Amino acid sequence: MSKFKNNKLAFVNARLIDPGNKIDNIGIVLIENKIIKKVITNEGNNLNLNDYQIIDCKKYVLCPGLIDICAHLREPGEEYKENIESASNAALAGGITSIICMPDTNPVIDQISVIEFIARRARETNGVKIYPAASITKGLSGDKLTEMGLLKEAGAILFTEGNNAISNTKIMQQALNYAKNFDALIVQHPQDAFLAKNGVMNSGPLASKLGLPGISKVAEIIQIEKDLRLLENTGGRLHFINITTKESVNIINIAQKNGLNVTCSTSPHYFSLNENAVDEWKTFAKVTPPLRSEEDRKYIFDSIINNKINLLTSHHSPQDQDNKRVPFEQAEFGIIGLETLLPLCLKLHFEGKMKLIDVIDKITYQPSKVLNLKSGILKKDSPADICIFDLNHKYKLDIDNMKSKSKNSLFEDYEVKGKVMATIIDGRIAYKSPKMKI
Amino acid sequence: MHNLDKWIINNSLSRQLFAKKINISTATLSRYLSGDRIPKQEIMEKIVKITRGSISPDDFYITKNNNIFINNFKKKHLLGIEGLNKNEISSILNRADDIVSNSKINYSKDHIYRGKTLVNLFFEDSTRTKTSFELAAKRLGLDVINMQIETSSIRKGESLLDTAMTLNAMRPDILVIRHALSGTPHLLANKVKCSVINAGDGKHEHPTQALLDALAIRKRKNKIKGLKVAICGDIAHSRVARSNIKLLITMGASVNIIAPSTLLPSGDNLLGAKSYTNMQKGLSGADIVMILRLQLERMHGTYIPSAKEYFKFYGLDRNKLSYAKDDALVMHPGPINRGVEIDSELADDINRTLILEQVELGVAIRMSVIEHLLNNSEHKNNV
Repeated sequence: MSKFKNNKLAFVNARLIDPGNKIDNIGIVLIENKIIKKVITNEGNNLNLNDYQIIDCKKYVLCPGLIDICAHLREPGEEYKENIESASNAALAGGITSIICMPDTNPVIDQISVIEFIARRARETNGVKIYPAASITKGLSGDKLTEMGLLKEAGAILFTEGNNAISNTKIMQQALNYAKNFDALIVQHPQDAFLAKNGVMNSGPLASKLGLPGISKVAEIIQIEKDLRLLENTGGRLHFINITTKESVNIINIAQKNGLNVTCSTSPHYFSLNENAVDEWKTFAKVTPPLRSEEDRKYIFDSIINNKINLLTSHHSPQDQDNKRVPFEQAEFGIIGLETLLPLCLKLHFEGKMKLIDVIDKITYQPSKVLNLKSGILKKDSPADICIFDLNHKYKLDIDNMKSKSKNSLFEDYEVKGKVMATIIDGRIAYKSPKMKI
Repeated sequence: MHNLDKWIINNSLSRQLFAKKINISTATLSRYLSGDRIPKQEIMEKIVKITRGSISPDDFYITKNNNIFINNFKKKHLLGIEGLNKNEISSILNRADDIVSNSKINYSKDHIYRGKTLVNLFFEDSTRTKTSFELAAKRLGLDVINMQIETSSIRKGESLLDTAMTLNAMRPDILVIRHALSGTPHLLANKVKCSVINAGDGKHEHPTQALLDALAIRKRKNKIKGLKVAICGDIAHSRVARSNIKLLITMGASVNIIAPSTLLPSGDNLLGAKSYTNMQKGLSGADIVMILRLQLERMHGTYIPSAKEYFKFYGLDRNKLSYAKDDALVMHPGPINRGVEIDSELADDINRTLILEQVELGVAIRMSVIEHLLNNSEHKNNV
């Protein structure tokens, strides 16, 4: 590689998909040092690429690297489930270049020292870009606000309570109001704590049959309604992750039309699976919020296609065997998702007839916009974070051979299309599939 | 003791003399009596003739070689009523009937199930069910081990599978498990090699209770099909209700469930039963009224405001019972909260209730279940 100065790479013959610029065309991307130098889509341009290492991407799609707004990396505190290095490897294999890690670690990401720790570990790993989310309240206690200004300066990209929602309306009001001072984004996992207490799956006939305590969809709806009413009053920016019901989508859409600064996202399991995945106490299907009815699943699927849901996340939640091989009610919530994010989202294209560029939009440009990141777009001088994938590669998901430390996925042997061939971060080829010729 | 042995004694004979009478050796007669062999047609006829019909071929088809009654039972475990078909349920009920009417069946300690082991693994307090399983197993000649699991360790889910694996290594034949969390017996059944009987898991199922209830109903009403059964009480949290609904509907009965709406499961019907919040409507035309126990912890505010209010609107007394058919019978899985879910005096009326019969039949049902599972696994091993 030494003959190429300044790490100059030319990706040629790729189908460039760049939702930020509405580009879907065969073209060339030139990168130099850590940034994108030029994106060329008009043919016939006589280019001199002598200085460049040429990478042929024929038959492949080239798009901005994926940005995952919600993932649990488990470090510090639960490194036996996942750590920054294993999560980073999993993300790279999934075409993800930026991850927002949730603050529900031990210790909680509620002070600068923990943010610095994560930054250092990310540097050492030299893999995917990791942006820590800090908690809204100290120690996730739900009552005292964290130092949002200082934390944001130190690198906290957003503020969230992870898988908890702030149930105290006064604190939520204060959080939204205070976050405004720093233009900080508040992210809420919408689930009313009282209604969801002890619940382990969607309430309904199946939960009744299995004898499991249910979580009604009202728990989600009511939390969103409450928070939107507060947001109307305080102003500020709010994002709901893990939207799973028809009503949630509709309420948020109305709020958006009324001018509130609110966005929402969901994860592949909520549009791919319904509550029947619980089958007979399958603990891998225990997620929060719970998998819903088929009616809701279909609605969420259609809502993404109809652009009623802003973006998609993996909600990667690794859990080791000891937390899943127990009776359903004792099992922990969660499913892994970094490596399956892209192929599962591509189902929206293959099965839902959603335009490919619109699917990619939900996992690149849209999250970048919500987070005010420079990446997520293919334009001159933006970071060279790129994902190259083979859209038509058909295969079965092989969970055991995935890079995540935990294997709690419901998608074992799931037939998918779309395989990541290479992941480039800051102009560096951070991951390449054995079949990719570089 | 074998019925033929009894006849021999009653007629002041001995095995030797009787053997001579029908022209076989004493050893052969012993084999007939131990169940190792079934008499051939001509010998059978001689026995029937000599005993003037007191002994019939039935008497020989009951022990070791009487798998005929069980042949269609293919289940390795009894994890719930779910998955059992009409024939399998009938087979268990019929066998239990035989056991109750006893005269034909003669179990003794050193008999067919000698050397088999049943482990009672109870993670939840229980006296009735555990004792009932223990008695059933002992009557069949099994060795019984009672595992007392400390309540404090229930929370540690990790130890559950370890406990199961440890037990598995001891090679029991049957594991009876009760656990406060739904689905636990299914989890264990995947890990152990022996048969697993669910003796109650969380809010999911309690199959032997439903089977014994069905037996009690069948004994009094001579059928299950076409009956109307009303189940009243804490349906939302009741495994007994779930198992009973599944069984009764499988057997062709119709089921109403009656409870205040906070104790009804979400949705209009549970497993095909119709929901009512009014006793008069729900009990109307019922042949059987099943009353469920109301757990104490549900009586103080979150589900219902007080036991007093509950009894007023949902407690069964003679007045409310009058909405049901005139010959309606009352059942209760016990233990009873007198004056909460059922009027005390009514609970003691043996003409209207089956409560004590239910307890009595429990042992027979569990014997039948154990036999079904053991015979089935033996059958499988032979193949």
